[in-house]
Amino acid sequence: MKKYKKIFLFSDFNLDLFNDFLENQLDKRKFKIVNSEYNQIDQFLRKSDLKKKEDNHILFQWISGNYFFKILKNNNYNKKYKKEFNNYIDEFIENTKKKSSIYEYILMPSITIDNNYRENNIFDLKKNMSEKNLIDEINFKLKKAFNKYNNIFIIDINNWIQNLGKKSFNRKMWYSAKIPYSFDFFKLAAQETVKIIDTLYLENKKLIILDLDNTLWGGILGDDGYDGINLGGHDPVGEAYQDFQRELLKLKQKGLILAICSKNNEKNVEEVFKKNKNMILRDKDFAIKKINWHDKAKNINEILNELNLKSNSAVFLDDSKHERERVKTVFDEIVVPDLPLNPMGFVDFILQQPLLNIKAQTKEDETKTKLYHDEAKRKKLKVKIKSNEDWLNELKIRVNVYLLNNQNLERTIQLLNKTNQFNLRTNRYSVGNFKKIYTINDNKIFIFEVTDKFGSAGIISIVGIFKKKKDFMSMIL
Amino acid sequence: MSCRVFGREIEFGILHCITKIAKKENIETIEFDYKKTKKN
Repeated sequence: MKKYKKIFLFSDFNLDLFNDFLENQLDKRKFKIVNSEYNQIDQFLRKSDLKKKEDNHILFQWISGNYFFKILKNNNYNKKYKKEFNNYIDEFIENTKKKSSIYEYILMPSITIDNNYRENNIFDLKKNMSEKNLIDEINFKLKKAFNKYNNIFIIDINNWIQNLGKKSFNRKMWYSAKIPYSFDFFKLAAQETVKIIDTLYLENKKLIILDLDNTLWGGILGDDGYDGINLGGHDPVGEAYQDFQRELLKLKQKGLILAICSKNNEKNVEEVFKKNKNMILRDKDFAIKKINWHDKAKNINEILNELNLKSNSAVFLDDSKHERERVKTVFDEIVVPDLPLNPMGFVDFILQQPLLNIKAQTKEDETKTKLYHDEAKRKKLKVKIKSNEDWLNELKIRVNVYLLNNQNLERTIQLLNKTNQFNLRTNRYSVGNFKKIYTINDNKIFIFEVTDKFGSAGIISIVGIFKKKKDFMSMIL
Repeated sequence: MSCRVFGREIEFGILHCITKIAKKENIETIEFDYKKTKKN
């Protein structure tokens, strides 16, 4: 049985160079590229008889601005063509949406203005029908249309263009081989695409365990005090630590759990959270804190147990090489990267970690830290009460049932794709194929949410019911 | 079912809800469509 993932490249220009770079950089045991001839994109997009195959993994659909501009006959940017232009974009959007139920993921670089139109014209942003404004309009429409599709991703390639500037384009290659971008640009594009593909298929991490001194702030708290540590202010290093905290907060808001593992006096740390106004991360942002003088490996073990997480779902960040090595020797599955020696490199470092990228975000993800805080309260109560039955009664559990709707669709699919225990089929779904299969005939999907005296545990179970006969139904759990 | 609620007997609550739904729809038989995979 083939185990590699197939990546299908489609474009309205020549992608051979990109194909070669991508092939060189991807792990050949895991991925195989299928490159179609360029200019087949219209036939492909309009083809309606495509069927879902098990090996339709990634559709990489790279469309140029020219694809849309061709509708403006001979570059006639007259308002009378605007309606036709908009219809053409809408048709492209609808055809791409249809493909979302056929492919596991669709990756689409944002549409960019072609080199031919790159002028510093003061009217670029004034005229409604200028190329620049039309490109912005296309990208806005695409972003809006695909926002709710959790398997369609638009990649902002302006970052790549900014990186290489004018060297991104090569007019000679365009005229001779219909290759609009330069050799270096495709090389960079392939590097970035590999990172994105890794994000899609690597098991994302769930927990970041953080040291404090010289990791979240500069200096030693025990020596410098809450108001003497280097954080924010007008100090370049202090600002770098503060920005690092901002990035960590963003990751927490995306659903990653933050924990502290630090050799410090707990009271001193409490003082920082209460009194240091430059702190971006607050006490409530951490699901669990182990602040003591014990061995860090022991503390990490306790963190994992209390959060009910495996070591392969955690990342440990500490400025001390000695502590990192200690943790590595005990937990070979925890990711323990070497932080840059200069804290001014911390933000770039964290932004470049594909393991910390989150593919889809649900309402539950945003409140995950609160869920862990509530869970800690339940455990505390259990220790106090001792009898399991009395504990369950004391929790005052309620199970609420809802029918599947657009509000709970993302979490429903996330749960079906993540859970194995009590999952009767372990089929995995995208939004498109889930809707196709489960919203037909008399099939009903029920969503179960659990609440108790400490709060809501969110959506925890899904049951699909299929009425086979009048008095008979089949269900998945 | 999410592991975050394991050990709280939620599965009984869910089955109770399902049987109530089935009764309302005059369903007499409920079949659990289990497909054994490497993961479950």
